[in-house]
Amino acid sequence: MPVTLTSLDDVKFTVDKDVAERSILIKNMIEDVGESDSPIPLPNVSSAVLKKVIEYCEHHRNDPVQVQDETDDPRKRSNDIEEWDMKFMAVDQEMLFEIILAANYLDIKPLLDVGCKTVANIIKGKTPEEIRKTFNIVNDFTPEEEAQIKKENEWAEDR
Amino acid sequence: MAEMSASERCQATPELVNMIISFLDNNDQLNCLCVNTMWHNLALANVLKHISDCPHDNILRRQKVLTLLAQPLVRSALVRNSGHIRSLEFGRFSILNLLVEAPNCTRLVSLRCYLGIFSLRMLNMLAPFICQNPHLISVHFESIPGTIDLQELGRALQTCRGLSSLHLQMASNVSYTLLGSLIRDLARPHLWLKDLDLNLPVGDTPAEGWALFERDQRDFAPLFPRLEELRFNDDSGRSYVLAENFYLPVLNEAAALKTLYIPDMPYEDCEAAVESIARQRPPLERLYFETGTSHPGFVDIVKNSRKTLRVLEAHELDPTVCASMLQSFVQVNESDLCYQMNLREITFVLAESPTASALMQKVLISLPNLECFTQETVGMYPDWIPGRLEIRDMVATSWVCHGLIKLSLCLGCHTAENNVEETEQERRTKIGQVYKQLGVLTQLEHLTLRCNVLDWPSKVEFDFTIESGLKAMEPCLTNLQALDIQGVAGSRFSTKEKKWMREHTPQAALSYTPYENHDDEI
Repeated sequence: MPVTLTSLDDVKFTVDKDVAERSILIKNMIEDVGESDSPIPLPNVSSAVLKKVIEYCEHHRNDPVQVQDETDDPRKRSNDIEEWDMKFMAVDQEMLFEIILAANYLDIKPLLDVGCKTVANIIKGKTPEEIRKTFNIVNDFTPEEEAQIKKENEWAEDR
Repeated sequence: MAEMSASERCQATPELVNMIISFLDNNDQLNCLCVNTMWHNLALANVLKHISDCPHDNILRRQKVLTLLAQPLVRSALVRNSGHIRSLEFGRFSILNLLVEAPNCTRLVSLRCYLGIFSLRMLNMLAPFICQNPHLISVHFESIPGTIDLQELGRALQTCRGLSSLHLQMASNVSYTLLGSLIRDLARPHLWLKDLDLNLPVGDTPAEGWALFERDQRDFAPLFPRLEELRFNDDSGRSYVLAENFYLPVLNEAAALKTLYIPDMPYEDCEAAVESIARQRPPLERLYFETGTSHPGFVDIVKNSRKTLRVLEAHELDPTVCASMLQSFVQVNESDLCYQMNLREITFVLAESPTASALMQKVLISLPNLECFTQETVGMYPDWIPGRLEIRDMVATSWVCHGLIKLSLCLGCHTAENNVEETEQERRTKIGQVYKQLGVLTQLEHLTLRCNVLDWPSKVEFDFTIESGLKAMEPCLTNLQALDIQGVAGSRFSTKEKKWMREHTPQAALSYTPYENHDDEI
């Protein structure tokens, strides 16, 4: 059964139900509302981003549903992104964060993971100043606080 | 007000920043501490989640944990942020001393420590520290000295109501009377203990200690109703005492067992264990034979659990018994294929024999769903030379286990029996075929290869070189993360090969373990 999704800018996308249900948010909405031809409004996602998200869901429509919460897994790695996903994520930085926000809103855990891993890969090897510059982050430390933190960082190292 | 960019909206969502930081390595997480206040707080929680001062162990386990350095600043930083710590392991220096005083260090879920080196004063801190962390679910103590107050430790562990994993490795001078008392204290119905590992020391124990242990132990056996994993290892040479008074009674009562270690026991006790396991429900998922005593009933244990068995490990069992176990999975009909779906890990450490070699080959050509296979055989002479998988067996049939992620093999040949007539070119062709088989295993992440020629001292060199096919593996094993190559007794891995491997598998270079005894002699 096809499902119609309406984006923030009122563009309609018709997709298969199993593709749309990669999003837990949409899956729950369909379950709550029951069988209906009414379009599902997604007021937080623009058409450009929704198009990308649908592309991801279509490619991964047959993947097993990820149920295990791996947040406490000490072996979490950012270098295990599939080749297709890596190409999919080769977008400009603004779109990358749009996809992450959309994946978070739509509750698509695998897409959220891939997005966060991609950002983590951008951060890798960068100094704090470079990280701030890359993501336009304002440094709200006082000079004294910053000096103290840098000093404390000397107490640990990764081997 | 200008609309926020996606990047800014993302930065303003702590759970997203936290998720990004969680995918970083420790050094990058440390850099995140200095970005801004929010990043600092989020990164700190990640950095302090898993703390260890045992760097060597961390490398071996390849876990992402933070290693502390023994510097003065550790004290203030650690104490101030101790509320973030969830997992703690220590052994080299006394961070325990610091944390006992830290009022916020109350949220540990995992504690692992090596106690052997601590003074009595520090050991006395341990029980209060455990009481301070009632959410502990996993406690591993290694080398527990006899000077520790086991009763106090037992009482402290009782306060951890959710304790599910307990590993106790005793030092040689421990009191068995008190140990029995500790185990009894823990065996209370409200405890959710699922994993119990008791490791007893090498050496004699006072007879009266054993006697008390024997007399009292049957009391607590029925009190581990939720036990899913049972292991005990007794190096004292008196294994029958514990087998009869601890292992078998617990085994008889543990109806929820999923993981079982069968320790070294006399034949009669093995028989009792086989009977007990035959009554177990549900079937086992992980089975480890650590006994050198081969009981025919072991085959039935495997057969009865073949629908659920995921891990099978056998040390020094009769290869014929192992072959019968394997046969439970490889008979050709559809239901057997279902059984194979579950079996993911096999480890065979067996006595050197043609049966053992054929068995290894049978694994590689019969189990397409296998993910980890470790083969090791114990050579007859001299002791330090490992046995091996016959090259002629290796190349006879194509392997089917294309999903293997971890493989450990020891290769070799009988020079006197089979290969003395072979030319260098013929040997090289065979080795090339071995590499061709290995090249098919494109999912491999961990590869350990050892090779030797059994007939020591042998004049025949066994050539595992680039020319014989090593280079052909390069484009195939793209997922390789750990490569361990050793050449022993008459075989040849040269410096040239080692350099080549380091160069062509850079992601595996860190775990590369050179074997120095047989460097390039050319």
